[in-house]
Amino acid sequence: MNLERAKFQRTVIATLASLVLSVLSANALGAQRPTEAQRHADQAMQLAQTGNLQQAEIELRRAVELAPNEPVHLADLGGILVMQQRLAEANRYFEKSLKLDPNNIVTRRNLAASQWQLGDLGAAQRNLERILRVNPEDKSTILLLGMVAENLKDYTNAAKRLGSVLELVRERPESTVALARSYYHTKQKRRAQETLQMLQGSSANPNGVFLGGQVAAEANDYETAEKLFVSIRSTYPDRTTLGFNLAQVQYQANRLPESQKTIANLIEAGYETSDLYNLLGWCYQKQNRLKEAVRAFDQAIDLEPSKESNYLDLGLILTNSKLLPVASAVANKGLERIPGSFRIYLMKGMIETRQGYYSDAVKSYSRACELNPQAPEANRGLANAQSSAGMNRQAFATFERGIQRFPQDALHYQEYALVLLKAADAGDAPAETHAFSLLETAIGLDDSLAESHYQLGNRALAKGQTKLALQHLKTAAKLDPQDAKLHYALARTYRRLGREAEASRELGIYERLKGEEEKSSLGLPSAEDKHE
Amino acid sequence: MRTAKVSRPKIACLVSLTFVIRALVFMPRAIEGPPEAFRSAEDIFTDITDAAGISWKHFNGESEDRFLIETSSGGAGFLDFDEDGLLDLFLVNGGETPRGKSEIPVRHALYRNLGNDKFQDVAAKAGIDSSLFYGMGVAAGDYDNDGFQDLFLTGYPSCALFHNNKDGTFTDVTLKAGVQNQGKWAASAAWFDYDRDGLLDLFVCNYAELSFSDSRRCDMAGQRSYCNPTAYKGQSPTLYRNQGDRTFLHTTSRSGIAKHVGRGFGVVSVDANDDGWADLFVARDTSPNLLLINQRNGTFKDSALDAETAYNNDGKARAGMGVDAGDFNGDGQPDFVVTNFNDEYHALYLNRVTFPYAERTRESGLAGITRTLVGWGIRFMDYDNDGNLDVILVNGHPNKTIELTRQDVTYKEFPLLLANTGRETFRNMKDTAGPAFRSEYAARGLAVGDFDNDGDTDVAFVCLNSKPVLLRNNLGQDKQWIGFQLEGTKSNRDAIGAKLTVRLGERKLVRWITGGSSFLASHDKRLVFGLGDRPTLDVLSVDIRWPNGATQTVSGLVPNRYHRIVETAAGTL
Repeated sequence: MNLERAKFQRTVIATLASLVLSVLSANALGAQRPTEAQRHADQAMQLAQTGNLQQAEIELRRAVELAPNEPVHLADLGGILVMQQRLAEANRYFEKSLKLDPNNIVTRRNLAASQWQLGDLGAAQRNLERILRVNPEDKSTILLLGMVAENLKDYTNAAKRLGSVLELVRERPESTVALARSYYHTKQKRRAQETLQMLQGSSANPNGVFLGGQVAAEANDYETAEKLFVSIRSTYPDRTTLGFNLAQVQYQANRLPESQKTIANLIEAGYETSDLYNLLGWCYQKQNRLKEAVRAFDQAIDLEPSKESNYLDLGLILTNSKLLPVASAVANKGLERIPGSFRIYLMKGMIETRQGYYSDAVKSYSRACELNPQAPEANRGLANAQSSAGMNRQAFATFERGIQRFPQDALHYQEYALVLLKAADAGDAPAETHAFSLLETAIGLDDSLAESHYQLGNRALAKGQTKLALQHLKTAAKLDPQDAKLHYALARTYRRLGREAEASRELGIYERLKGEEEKSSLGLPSAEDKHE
Repeated sequence: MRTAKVSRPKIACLVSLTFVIRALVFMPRAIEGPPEAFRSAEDIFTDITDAAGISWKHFNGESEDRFLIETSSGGAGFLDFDEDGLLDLFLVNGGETPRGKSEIPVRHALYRNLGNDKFQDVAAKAGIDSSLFYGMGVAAGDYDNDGFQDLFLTGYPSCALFHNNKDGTFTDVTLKAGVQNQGKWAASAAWFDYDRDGLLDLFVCNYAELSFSDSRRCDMAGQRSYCNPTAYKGQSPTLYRNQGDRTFLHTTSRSGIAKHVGRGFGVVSVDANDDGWADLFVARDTSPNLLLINQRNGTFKDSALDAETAYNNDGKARAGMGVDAGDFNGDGQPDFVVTNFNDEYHALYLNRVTFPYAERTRESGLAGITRTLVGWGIRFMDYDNDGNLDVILVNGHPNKTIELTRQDVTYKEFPLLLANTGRETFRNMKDTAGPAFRSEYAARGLAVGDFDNDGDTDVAFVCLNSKPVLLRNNLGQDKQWIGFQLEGTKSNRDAIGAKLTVRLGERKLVRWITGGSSFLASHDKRLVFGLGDRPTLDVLSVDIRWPNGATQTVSGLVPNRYHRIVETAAGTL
């Protein structure tokens, strides 16, 4: 995507340059009587048209020296600097020109475009809106304002602006893509698809079409994305990148055989990359072909031994398949190659926790914390491993440190509360009070934490506060409807309230989910699964 | 069984159904906690294993294959097999596995009580020292009502029924009786009369699908370890109905029990809903517990979900090994205790008559005491005869490698003597219970019984690959007590299922003769009621509800002795 963004920026600058050149020409034509400054300016235009920008700059600087209060020359100099991609410097001259001639729409628009390029979106937006107040029908300004709004993720505004200048949008693939993205984000999928179809005209720009495909994929419109990618198969210059993106959307659309075929074709044609084998691994994993998945990931690793994500992905798949010793071996292999990878240490800690090797998990999480003290998940992992290993005092201290360091991390409060509740079960009454205060804080920070709602609901139920219990438990079940225990708790609560039909319903859901859980846990010896 | 100190009240005092003699001494409503200082300077329990002459050792066939059965065998049973008035002790051995061989033959033991705390192994002479399967537990019961205790041994891949020949020997009648439970891995079993026909029926907990030719590979801390139970598919329990001709009918399916497939470990039979019919609480390992309520028509309905005893509060099935029933809080209802895995807490459920039961694991202090323990045998007993039912239980982790991954959980663990404070809480009596409670064992089956007939309850438990432990209670005899040995006539002779109520002024003590209970164990069928520390007690009465539903009140009973009560023909139904 970064590559595409760079290409996009170069296109915009080229657009700006053409705008500037047209201004320069206009200024030259508009001169009433040639002064010495004007002669330098005219000379600069001729040089610019032949591509001699450095000399053109010198001429314009001379013109500005001779006529420092002439806004045209200042604006022209800004334009020449834009063409040399010296945007910040150009902006100073645009601004000087506008001080002298504040109503010059063209200069202001050029300034806005340059500011947009530099990422100063607020300033760009203000300048463009100023133009529109005076000249509300200025389509170029509307176009640019739409692009700025899209960058600011104000998709509603972006869709409105860009949608009103379709003829201009149609000419510019980047604007077409921006409009499509805005439509996707404002739930106007059909319009987004129609917009992207514009890219597939006779003068289709394969780069633009590629961008369009990426936007469609981002919006999970895999069908459209696939169509766009397929349409530029023979014209897009980077076959590997296109192929990878195509295979990826096919995978995400669950068209696994097609995705596999796309990848296989690329590999056969000699375009082997680590990313391709990684994606192939995921294809196999989704089809429960574990051995082939592992083989593919191994190949990804062989091609790029220092790519962290390959170890992480393979480790995750093996862990989810309960092949914990193998997952552990992958983590260790990853650490041999990338000893400073805090993510791999995190994964190792997680695997060791699943295996019940809590003492080892403490070591792994400790190392992850050392490597990345700014990672709240590492601190939480450490605290939980300490608690599981029976190191309660240390666990509490780690959580306390975590809360100080990451005061906005709701999960710290939640997980600390869960550990305290275990201590409360063992008779530590203050721990329970503290735990519930932490849970309230957690929900205050993030109301989507199903577990916190569940624990608060359970506490209310234990205290006979059934209505409060129901409120929390219903929230929890809404947030995480696949968690069997929430439905069990709801069944108990409804029973207490004498609402037997609802109790039965919730119990039915609980039993179904439980059955599914148990089915997926059978088949492999699961010594490491909550086993001690 | 004839007791040595039986008093035979005169008929005029005994058989008075309309006139009950009340106790002449008023008792306080509740006894608050055990006294801080004991009369005796002795520990509560003394380990007399060696002094008693018990030299038998358990063998579990431990091998590199790590068959799960190696972790859970070791049953124990108190019974008076020769009816000499002294409780004897039967110990169940495990067995060999394909690569776990014993240098000496693997034998069960039948320790005959010689009196004076001495025992002698007569298993070989009795013809009951070996079985053709890997042994698990024992259930003693007089299934043919001939006055002598028979033995049902559980194990894998079958079980065995030994009929007591009344001459100190036993005969294997398994095939003839039809109770081989072939192909199953059976754990605890319970004799009980579910159809109230006066004959003992048999419930068998079956655990999981096992095969000695299919060892599962699991690791912990890089070493081969035992797999999680969920790696093994559960089995349905077995129910045998006694047909009265020394044969049994397999009624598992028609009783509605067959559908309850799961890993059953422990069972206790008691009348949970006080309707006069025997129910079953089945403790199951990583499967939901069962509360099988007798429908009075030969079938059972599982009400564990309604009772909220099936799962913990998170809807998760706990490890569920041993179970017992008793009136913990003195409200006349049977409550339940279940042993579980570490981090799950052993559970206490208070029976509230209506569902759900109230789980008081945390509030009672049981959670805090048992957090790091893996429990097995468990039994309600009034160790100090103060009238409050206490709990004794044994622990031990299945995996030796646990100590490589946890700092707070060990392989061998302490047994626990938990005193009932009278306020629905427990107090750990570790410091005064005796050295055995400060020692660590890989303990499994636990049985209780008054083997020295002194009115307090003694204890025996089996340890994996080790000698068992026999504990003599030194304390309970120091308080007033009254004991009962019931003999059914219309009801089953052992009176399993009977409910007894002794009134002490405003207070009433309720006890049941339960079937099964604990883990892999069988217990003294006599009941001892602790009466506390009272200056003088004259005579007492007891209300009995016999297993077949008839009621009987017996008055004029003198404390501090056992009373043998025979079910009368005139008992009211």
